[in-house]
Amino acid sequence: MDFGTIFQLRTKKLWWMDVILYFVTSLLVATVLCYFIFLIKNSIQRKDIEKEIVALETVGTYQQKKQEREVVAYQKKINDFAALFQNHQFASQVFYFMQQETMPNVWFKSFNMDRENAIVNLPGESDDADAFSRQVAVFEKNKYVKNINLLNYTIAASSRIAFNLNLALDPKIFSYITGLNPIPQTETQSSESGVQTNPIK
Amino acid sequence: MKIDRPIAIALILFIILLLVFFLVVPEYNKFKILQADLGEKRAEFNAEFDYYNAIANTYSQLQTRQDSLKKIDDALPIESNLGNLVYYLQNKALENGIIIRSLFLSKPSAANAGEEMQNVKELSFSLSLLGSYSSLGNFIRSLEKSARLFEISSISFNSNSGQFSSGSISSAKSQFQTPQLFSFSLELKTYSY
Repeated sequence: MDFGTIFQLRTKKLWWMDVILYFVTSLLVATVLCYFIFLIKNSIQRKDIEKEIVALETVGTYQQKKQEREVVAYQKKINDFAALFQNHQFASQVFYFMQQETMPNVWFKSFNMDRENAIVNLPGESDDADAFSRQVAVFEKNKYVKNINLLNYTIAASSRIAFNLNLALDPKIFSYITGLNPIPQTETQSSESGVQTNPIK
Repeated sequence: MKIDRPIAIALILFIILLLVFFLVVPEYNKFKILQADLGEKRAEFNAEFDYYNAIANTYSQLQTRQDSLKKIDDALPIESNLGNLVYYLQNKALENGIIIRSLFLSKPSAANAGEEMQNVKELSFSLSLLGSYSSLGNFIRSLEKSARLFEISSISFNSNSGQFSSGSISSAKSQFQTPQLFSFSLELKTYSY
């Protein structure tokens, strides 16, 4: 190692040595300053955090929590109600439909509704096969009957026709906003076919 | 005093290194942590402030719509109120000219309208009724118009069809147009919490 050069640096007065000395001295001052700046900044931030904590305590008061509970409870209730109402079926629509569409000489024993699939099951009896076929034709012509997906009949002991029908209905018929409610009861009958006049067609 | 420049420079650099590693860097790290903490607290405050503001707005809107809320309360009551319910059904039946011959309440079950409605109970009734078809139609309509949510799942006509063929009912009229009294079975559902 050339110690001569280091010795020269110590003895000779070189201008750039002064520059470096001043530079590192200012760097030292800057470092100390930086440290104090961070100290002050941190202290300010701690105070700000404490202020925020205090401010947070002012939000969510007893009154606000009470309001929140009420709002959440009603929100749930409204959602539940909306879900129920969305799935709500208006049986009267189907009842009116039956009133309008049932022909003389045809007797329905019951009607059971499957709202999800919009299917109405209609077991019943008719005087003869002719009355039954006309009844089926009436259902088929109705705009709210999409199709008849079950149709069977047997001649009962009383020589009458026992039948079972499944009508696939347009889901609109179950809705309250169909313009069908109320369907006025009519006793007018078509003289030729014996089919009742149907205002909902 | 004459300063030995190279040694002084080396010494100052060493002091700077010490200061940086033992004072400035730890303080800087604290500064970053506190800054993140403060940001979090501010965001939390803003979020809570906005949330409760929205709650207050919604609450005041709810207050202005008390009528609608009452309708929902009536449609979906907190308790089953079976006594009131039975009384209501009897009243409505009488108003519409129909007689409730028997009423059977099945066990309350959870409504199956969705998973979110786990607290909603479904009350199912079986009603045996006596009346004409038009009274039944009016009774069904009055139930559908009532404040409480009623749902009719099935209607059975229990009357004997022999009545129809025996000539007691005019063959010019359909089953639903006859004024005679018949027996009906009604499956009825209503809801409560």
